[in-house]
Amino acid sequence: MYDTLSWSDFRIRIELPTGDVLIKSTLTSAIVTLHRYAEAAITRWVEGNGEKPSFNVDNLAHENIGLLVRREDDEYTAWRNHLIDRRNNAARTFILHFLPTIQCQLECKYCFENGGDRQQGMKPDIMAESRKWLDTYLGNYPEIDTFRLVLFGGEPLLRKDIVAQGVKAFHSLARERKLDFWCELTSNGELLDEPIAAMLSQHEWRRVQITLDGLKDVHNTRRHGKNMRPTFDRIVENIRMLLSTDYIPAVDIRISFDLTNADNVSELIRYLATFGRQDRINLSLGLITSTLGNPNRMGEERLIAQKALLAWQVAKGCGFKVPDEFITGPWCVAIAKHSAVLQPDGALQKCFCTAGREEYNFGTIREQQTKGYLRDPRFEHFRRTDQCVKEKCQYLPMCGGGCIHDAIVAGGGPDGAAQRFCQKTLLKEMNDGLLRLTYGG
Amino acid sequence: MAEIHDPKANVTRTQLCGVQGQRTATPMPNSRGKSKIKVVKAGSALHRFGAEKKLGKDGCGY
Repeated sequence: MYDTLSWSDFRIRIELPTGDVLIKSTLTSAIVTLHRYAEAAITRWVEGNGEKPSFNVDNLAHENIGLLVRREDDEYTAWRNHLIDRRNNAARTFILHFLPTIQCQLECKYCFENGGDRQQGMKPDIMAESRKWLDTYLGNYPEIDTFRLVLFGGEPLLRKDIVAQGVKAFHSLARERKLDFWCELTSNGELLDEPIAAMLSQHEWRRVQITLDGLKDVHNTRRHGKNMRPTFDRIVENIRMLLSTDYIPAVDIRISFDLTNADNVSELIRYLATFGRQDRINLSLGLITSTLGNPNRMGEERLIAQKALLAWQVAKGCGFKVPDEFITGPWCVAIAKHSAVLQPDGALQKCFCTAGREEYNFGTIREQQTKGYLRDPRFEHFRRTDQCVKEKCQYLPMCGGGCIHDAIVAGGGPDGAAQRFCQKTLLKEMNDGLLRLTYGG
Repeated sequence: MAEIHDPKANVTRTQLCGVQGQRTATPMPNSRGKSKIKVVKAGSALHRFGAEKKLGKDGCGY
């Protein structure tokens, strides 16, 4: 049986100074280490130029490792078929991005929502109808056993009244239907005071994401209110409040990242380390990309990766958790079967990056009830990876053709959704670097 | 790490990496044992297929 094995195309490797190599499956995420001579021996064997090594090579062929595969297997076709099958036939989670408003009190120049219609706020009748719509939908799809509610905006806490109504209404609906339920909040953090935290904590609040872009001066230059009103001190005060209480297990601090603030990010991370709560802070870097409102922003991928890896190195040195991989897909809420972005006017979209742009609506809570699952064909172009398959790209399982919103921006509008968005250089640089940082000793 | 091309070199079988045809003066770690390949992180065949209930961070990181 094992004479028919070959190395999987879905693997990346880095060499260590010790003579060992780290090999990672981009499909299963398994990581193994072995001496480079052992790797060479395996290569000779699978190529028919040597005997089977005497060591435990069979482990590499286990389905949960996936580094050796049957020679006759077409990994790319199998991957795509499996992805589509799981997406269409194994979806058990409903993901609702709930937007009480698209307004925001901050004026970040890089925001992907800039250029859309941001004036509207949710009216009470939409709130009431949305519960009814969702109840009907859940009834139509009894296989759904989990309900993930994400409070999003704009800045959702500009409408604390709607947030409170929504969380209570959806939590009670989840209870009635015996669903596993939790809520998350994506916020700029300025209005996240203790009363709202206390309210959310009554409704399975499991995640909060708050953005800081650097130390005070840099943050206030990038993430300010009207007339350059500074926001850093209040946001940090609210983060400290969350860290000193038990309303939520951890605080996710998102750092929007590009070449203009990259050098200050390390200073921010060192500052956050002085809080002494590395156990309750999850850092993430949000690489600022081009947007429909500003399509020319992403910097050179190799340089971005170098700067990002430097920040992660500092984070590791400060005792923060560091991710061991960087992915740009293949799943996101926009591709998931049972997912929707509910806008303040009741319109539904698949991707929250297009909020406020009506050309990306695929329905409303009023008309959707008779239309089957939450489908926008623009987010189901699974053939967009054909070129990736042709190129035998090892990053395909971590990418799936890349972000559809990025493809829309690159393509100049909705038609771009049918194209892939390749960031292979960024994927390679980031994943090689994170692998070395995390497991390279 | 230099390869030994002289077949008379004083290198034992186990120092030859346990692999036929490979002649090197540098013995491989654990060359007699079964632990030559170390799994440093377990994987999952379903890892990339949305099988896990995750907080946030799907693809785009939100």
